[in-house]
Amino acid sequence: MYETQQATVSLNRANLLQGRWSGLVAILALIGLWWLAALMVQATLMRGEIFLPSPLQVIEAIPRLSVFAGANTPQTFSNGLWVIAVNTGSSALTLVGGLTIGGGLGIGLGLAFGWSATLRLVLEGPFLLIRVIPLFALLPLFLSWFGGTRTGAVSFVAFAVFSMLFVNTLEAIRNVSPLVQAYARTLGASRLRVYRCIVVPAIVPELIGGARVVLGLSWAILLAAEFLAAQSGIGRIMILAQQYFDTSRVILIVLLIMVYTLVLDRFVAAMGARATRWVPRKDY
Amino acid sequence: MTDIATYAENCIAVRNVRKVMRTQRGAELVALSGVDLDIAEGEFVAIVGPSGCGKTTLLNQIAGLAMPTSGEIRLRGKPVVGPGRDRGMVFQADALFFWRTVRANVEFGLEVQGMARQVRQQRADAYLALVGLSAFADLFPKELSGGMKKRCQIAAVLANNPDVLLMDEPFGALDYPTKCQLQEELLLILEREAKTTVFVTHDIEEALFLADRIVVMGPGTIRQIVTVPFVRPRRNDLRVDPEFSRRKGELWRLLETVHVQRAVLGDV
Repeated sequence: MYETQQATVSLNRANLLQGRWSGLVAILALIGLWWLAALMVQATLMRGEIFLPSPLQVIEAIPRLSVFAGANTPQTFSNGLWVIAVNTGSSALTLVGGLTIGGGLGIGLGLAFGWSATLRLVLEGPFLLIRVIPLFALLPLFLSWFGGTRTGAVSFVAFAVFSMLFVNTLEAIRNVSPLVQAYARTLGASRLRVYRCIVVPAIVPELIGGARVVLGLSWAILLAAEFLAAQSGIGRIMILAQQYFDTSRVILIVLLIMVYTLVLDRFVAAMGARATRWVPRKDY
Repeated sequence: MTDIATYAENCIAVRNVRKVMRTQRGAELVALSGVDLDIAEGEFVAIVGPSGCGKTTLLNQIAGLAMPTSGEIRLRGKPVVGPGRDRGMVFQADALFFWRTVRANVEFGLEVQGMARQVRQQRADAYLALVGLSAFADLFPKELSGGMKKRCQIAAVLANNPDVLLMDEPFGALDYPTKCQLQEELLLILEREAKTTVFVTHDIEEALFLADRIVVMGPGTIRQIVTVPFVRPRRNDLRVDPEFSRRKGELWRLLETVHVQRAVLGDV
């Protein structure tokens, strides 16, 4: 019994390591291909780096970010990194604000709607209409309401997150097994207790799935808001870099956002893994 | 028939219960057409019958999970108006709180009762020991086998100390040896803490082995009530007793007539 268990564990570890290594090799190969393509483009085109800069040129673009800290700032690596840090902080603030407000409202209202049949009857239709509004069509509207303020960007992210998580929560509540709820009732639980102790924990896995999708999209939504109207933030410096035809800086920022999204997703996945230990899943 | 005066002597009194259900397409389906049944205090009653004859529907009405279209069900004289702690139910499917450990599953009903944490844990552990799950108390339900899941459910329901035990084909999905073992364990447990039990099953051997009386149902009605003569305590060797086989044969023929009648009804 124990021997087989240990064997499985070490096998899993071997698989995991192998998986990590092959993943790393694949990423390195992709970077190599990118470099090769960049060299070819730049050999055939004048100012080819505008179309496709090489990985090295992207790294070299870091000092040039310094200009976003003020025109007279010396172009050094540390100043460039400082610009990245400041604008990342600014974007993160907007993102956290939008996620908190939108997430709180989405899950909170979802839970309220899940509880009250009257609420569903009267308001579910109008609320679901929110979902069919094309999100980015609302961007100009938010712009005229809030101007280029952080409030505008936060509201836009919050709105998007709200509409996604509201539907996600309500649907998750509908999927909770009626059998388990009936069982809790036969044990003497009141309706409120069934909701609190059965429905709420049962929807956690679906909520985590929803949260991962929303977090992935939230950076995209934030960027859109910052493109149009922001004084600072990752999206802001990206659009400025594009106006200089400085593709290296644009790609640098894209790579940064990829890293941020990846880190955020890994974080939520790790949290989720602990919270959903109980879910019957296939183990390989 | 029985009148109001006898309510007090019965643990469960089912009076002229009729249940009409609506299908998704709006057609009406008579699941129970006027069922009368009296179950005495401490009695073990099994309900058998072909699938779709209303066994589970009847049990759900007693549990209060659904209300009869007409008629009445009383528990110790009090009308049943909804589910309650006095009637513990062991379901056919895995009714378990999957996000709770085995021990926390057993503790749920005790939490509802507002029992203190320490008392709760002790009681849960005692019932887990009773069903032989002590070593698995800290596992999640997904890590249990089918038979262990059933044991966990039985422990959770018994720990909650209901007056009546309602069981809906609890062992239906188990293999034969596990089933026999759990049936014997159930009898052992009931010898220790006597409970009025209503046990729905399609397995006549199970009914004969466990019950004091067997209610044979046809579509929507009670066809016959058979008294089981075997003395208690009963153990697994009863299954190979010639008298047991004879009774099983009788019951089998009785159920077959119900099947035939149903087939004729279906042809009309």
